[in-house]
Amino acid sequence: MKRVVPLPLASDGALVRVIGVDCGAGLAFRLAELGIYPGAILRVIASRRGPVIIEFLSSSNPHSNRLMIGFGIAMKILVEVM
Amino acid sequence: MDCSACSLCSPRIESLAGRRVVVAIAGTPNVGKSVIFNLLTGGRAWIGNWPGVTVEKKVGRLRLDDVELEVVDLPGIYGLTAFSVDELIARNFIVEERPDVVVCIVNAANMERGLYLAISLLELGVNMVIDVNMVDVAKNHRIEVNCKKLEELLRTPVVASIAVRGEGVDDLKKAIAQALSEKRRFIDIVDYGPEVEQAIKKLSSELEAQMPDLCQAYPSRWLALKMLEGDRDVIEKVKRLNGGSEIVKAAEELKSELAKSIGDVELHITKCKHLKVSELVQQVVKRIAQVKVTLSDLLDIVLTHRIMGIPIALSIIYLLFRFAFEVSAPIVDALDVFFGSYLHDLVASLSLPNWLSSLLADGIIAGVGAVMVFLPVIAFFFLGFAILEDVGYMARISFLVDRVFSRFKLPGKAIIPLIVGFGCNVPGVMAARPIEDENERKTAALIAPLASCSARLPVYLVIGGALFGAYAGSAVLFMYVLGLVLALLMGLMFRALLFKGPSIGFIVELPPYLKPEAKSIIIKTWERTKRFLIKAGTVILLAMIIVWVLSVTGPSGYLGPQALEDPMLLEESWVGVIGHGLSHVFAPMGWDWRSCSALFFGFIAKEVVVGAMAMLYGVSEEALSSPQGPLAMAFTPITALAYMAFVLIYVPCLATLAVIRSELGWRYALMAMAYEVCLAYVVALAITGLGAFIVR
Amino acid sequence: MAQLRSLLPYISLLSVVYLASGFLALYNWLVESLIGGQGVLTSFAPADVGFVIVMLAIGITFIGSLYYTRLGDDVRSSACLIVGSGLAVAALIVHVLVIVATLADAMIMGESLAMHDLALGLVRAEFPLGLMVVPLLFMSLKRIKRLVG
Repeated sequence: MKRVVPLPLASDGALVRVIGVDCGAGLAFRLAELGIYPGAILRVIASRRGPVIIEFLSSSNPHSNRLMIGFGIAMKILVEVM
Repeated sequence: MDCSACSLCSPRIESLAGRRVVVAIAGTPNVGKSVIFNLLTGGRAWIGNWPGVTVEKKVGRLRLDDVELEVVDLPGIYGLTAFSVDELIARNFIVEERPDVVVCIVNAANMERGLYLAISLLELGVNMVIDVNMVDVAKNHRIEVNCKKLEELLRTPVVASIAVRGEGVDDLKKAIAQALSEKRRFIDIVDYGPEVEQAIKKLSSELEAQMPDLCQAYPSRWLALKMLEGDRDVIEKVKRLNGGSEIVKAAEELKSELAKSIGDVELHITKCKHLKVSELVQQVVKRIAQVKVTLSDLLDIVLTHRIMGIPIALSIIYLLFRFAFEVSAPIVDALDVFFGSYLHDLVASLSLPNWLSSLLADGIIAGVGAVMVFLPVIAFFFLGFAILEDVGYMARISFLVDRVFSRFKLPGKAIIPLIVGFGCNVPGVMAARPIEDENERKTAALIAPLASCSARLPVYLVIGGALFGAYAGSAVLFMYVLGLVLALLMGLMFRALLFKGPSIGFIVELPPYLKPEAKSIIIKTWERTKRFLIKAGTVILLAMIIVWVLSVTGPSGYLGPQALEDPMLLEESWVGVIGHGLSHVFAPMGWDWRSCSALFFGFIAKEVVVGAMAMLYGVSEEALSSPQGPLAMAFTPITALAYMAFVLIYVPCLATLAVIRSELGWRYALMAMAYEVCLAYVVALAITGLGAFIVR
Repeated sequence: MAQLRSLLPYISLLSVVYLASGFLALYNWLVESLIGGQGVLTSFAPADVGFVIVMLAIGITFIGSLYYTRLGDDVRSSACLIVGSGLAVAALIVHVLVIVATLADAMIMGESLAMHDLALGLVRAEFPLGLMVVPLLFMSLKRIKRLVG
């Protein structure tokens, strides 16, 4: 049974798949534009009660393609820990 | 002009001679846009604001093949949605101004981000040139980009460059020239699947039939796409025209129908774009070798560490301060000697009428001197800051403090205005610009003046030396900390009462650490120092002249420049009158009229306070800080502390007020003045009261 | 990894010395600022809050390196090492610049170049300790090169 949690609750280094975003259409669209949409696969670089740093695993150069997401927004992103 | 010797371009663009030719520079943030802009325009740029917003607009000129091109720097954006002010500006500029070429700059090490934007731009029907920049960084990451292949796939010219080294700029110029003569478009680059494509076709043919003019400005496919996405801006534009509401309704129906078969339409469209980007990237980006872990990763392990991160950040800030204040000291003293003694005496030795000599020496030269004396500190501060910024460390600092700042409903980014503000409040206020949320940005800009700028330091040192002796260092430290604490508290208050709104939080790119390039650092430092010199410098100079006038004249008439030497005479001048008036206001704090007068000067520019005090007490600046000097007589440690706190908090200096006005408007500038004066008075009163209580 | 083990005693020594100077400076600051007394070895460990923070930060980072080495985490311990040495050398460079600036300042103002002042500058902890870290910095850079490839 795979866990579905808000993003900040995933541990450092975890591989996660985005299940959904629990927010208004505007923010959802913004996130999707940046690559965070249901089905996207991310690696959590650093997470704590603060901003979360994530990496896009499928990109040509994940090291260069990182986002820092504020805690508030990160809590709205629901992921499945793989 | 002899073209045989020129190798700049092959196709002739002379057909464009005679009209205004515009080249827009677009790109995601952090790709080196400003460096490329500088290289293209040779530093000939005009910086202002986009109309109605506080987003910076840069326009420059480029001469290519006998044609003068206007180069416009668009804000750094990730896409062209209507949700972000920056993206709306870029989109509207492209549509309304119809640039002849749009140069899209992408980071070779992060092709996904750049290509997403490039595709969005292509769909808007632009004539594009792609510049794959930072190929050296990509190489470090063991990545190669096949520009030729990309050119084929996107049907648009692609050049590679390393902007910080100046490489590739000539190729870029050639490509721009080429694009100017061979206009290309590739609007239907993304395939959205049969269902959506059908809907698009239906809508676009309707649009073309009903509103051909609109379809001249925007590609109908793009309009249809945006309507299916629910783009408010486009929907408004369509509704306003004849037959618009029917089309809008049709779009909504199509949208809900599509939702049954493919789910959320916006999401589907975005996914298709991302899919297309991945497709392109797979064909165009080659990984030469595996990278297990990068230096950047290693550094981030420690620099964003739960325990080690913050002490290291504090250390780095401390080193920055040390560098700015202590290493610049010889230059400061040299300038002080030059302006204070050499030039001053030079003017005095010329046989000019008394008043003119005094105006020149004590007004203008003293004024210029006051500015110049601070210039080295600020320049060094900007230098250190630019290094940290280019390396990428500033983003990590925002990360580290975000948790603390969110307790005060402020974003981590809000620490940057405060850090910069420790050097000078003027760029500090401006540093609030990158904060996305308007409420948070306004708050950050309004609390930035509470950071104890370098101009206040001499006041602390002089008073500290006179009254605190060994404890002077602690008193100064107390001021810095007080400023920070008050900034956070006021920030919370503003956010809770005035600039209400959820702490939306932020999403920012976290670029890997980069090796700082000397050219970029020097350009940044020079531009910022120049801006300080112009903005603050002119105000301070003006201030000194006004102060001079107020010192040599009084209610009884012209007193003559002797007033500057004779404190008794000075008391009869306007300066004295103002001082006495103010001393009534500050009676509970027990400050004498001279110190109150100095406060008035400090309103104009804080740099001027110590000089004013010296003049008012009739001693040299060095004597002011002596424990036997006049200050030690005029204050007690408690009143002195209250005075220092007042200087810290009251009124941003005129230059800072001017910047607040240009960033946020008159109302906020006045608000800043009002709240700071009140806060300063309350705090000073509190310190005096508390002190009296403790002493008893 | 073997190389790191041989460095362990040196790193331990440095971490102890940095932490010690940090705490000493903290003591000096407390004594001088709050009680008004006389500090100890204030030319080595000045009563300056920023100095305290820098020394302690470097010390903590070196301790981190030791900690992760103990755990067998090569990557993290090397990371701590390079950041710690980098910070120490950065502090050294800034301090040297300050000394040069102070000398230049004395020349400009026409004050006598006190050899005494120069000696004081060179005695301040950042200088001798920073010099001790320089070889460590080079070694950690080599380690990083191997890790990163």
